[in-house]
Amino acid sequence: MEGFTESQIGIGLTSTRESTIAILGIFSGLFGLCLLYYIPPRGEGGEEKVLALVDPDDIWGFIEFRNGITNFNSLEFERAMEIFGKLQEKATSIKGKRILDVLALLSKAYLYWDSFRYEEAWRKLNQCIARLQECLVECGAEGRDFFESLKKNVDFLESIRSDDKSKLFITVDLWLNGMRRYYQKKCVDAIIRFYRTLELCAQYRLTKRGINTPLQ
Amino acid sequence: MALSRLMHSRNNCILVHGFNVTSDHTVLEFAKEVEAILEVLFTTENVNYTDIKTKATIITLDRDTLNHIIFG
Repeated sequence: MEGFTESQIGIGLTSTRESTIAILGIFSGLFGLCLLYYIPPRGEGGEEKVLALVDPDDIWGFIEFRNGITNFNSLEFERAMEIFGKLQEKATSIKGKRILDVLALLSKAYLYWDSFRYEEAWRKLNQCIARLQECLVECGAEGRDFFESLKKNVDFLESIRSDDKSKLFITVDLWLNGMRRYYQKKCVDAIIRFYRTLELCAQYRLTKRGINTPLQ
Repeated sequence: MALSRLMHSRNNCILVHGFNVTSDHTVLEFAKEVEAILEVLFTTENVNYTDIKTKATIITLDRDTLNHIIFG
């Protein structure tokens, strides 16, 4: 295209298919073209935005970041943690690098939580909140919602650690863990957790009658 | 078809028997039954089940929001 430099030519991303985004990302990176991504408005009065990525590091980061989020939302926390961590180390020009650190920590915390390692999960989530607090200004209102949700998670883990009703709260966590296994199509794992939830309910009732049974 | 038979006896003892897993649907049905028992247990303890469930739920990441924060 005559009269335009490469960075003045943009490729618009309208597809949400990961393969298409990856191919177009590589294409724009190779030819030095700008990658345009449309972000729809959120909530009432929200603004729509167009993300323009020119730097190849940003384009690579954008593709990897999407991959990280997909893994996180599919409950593959270990893989998500690796991706966010690597991205944070290698991507030099990404503006929100501190958020990547928060996401890597959050993936680690959830990995512990998903394995019933409550103490470690609580510690990591607290670290995560502390780091997020440092960069809350650059996150805007949506960052604050995210922060509040994490605080609720911390409150829950706090109750499991110290509350006299911790056994009761573990029943809910066990049930939710079973649901996560169900969504991952791991039905046997899910069933085991649901049965254990029932067992724990019975244990809790027995404890109330002065009969203590071991938790493990 | 879920084959679980859940009984709530007079002294709040919970009995489960005759469960057979044959499909995803059965698992989900069983999950709902277990959750119903949890709700009863929380009610007897005067604890708000929905509130605790919200606090215990792992969050999911919103791609567009984070794209904006990180790359915007």
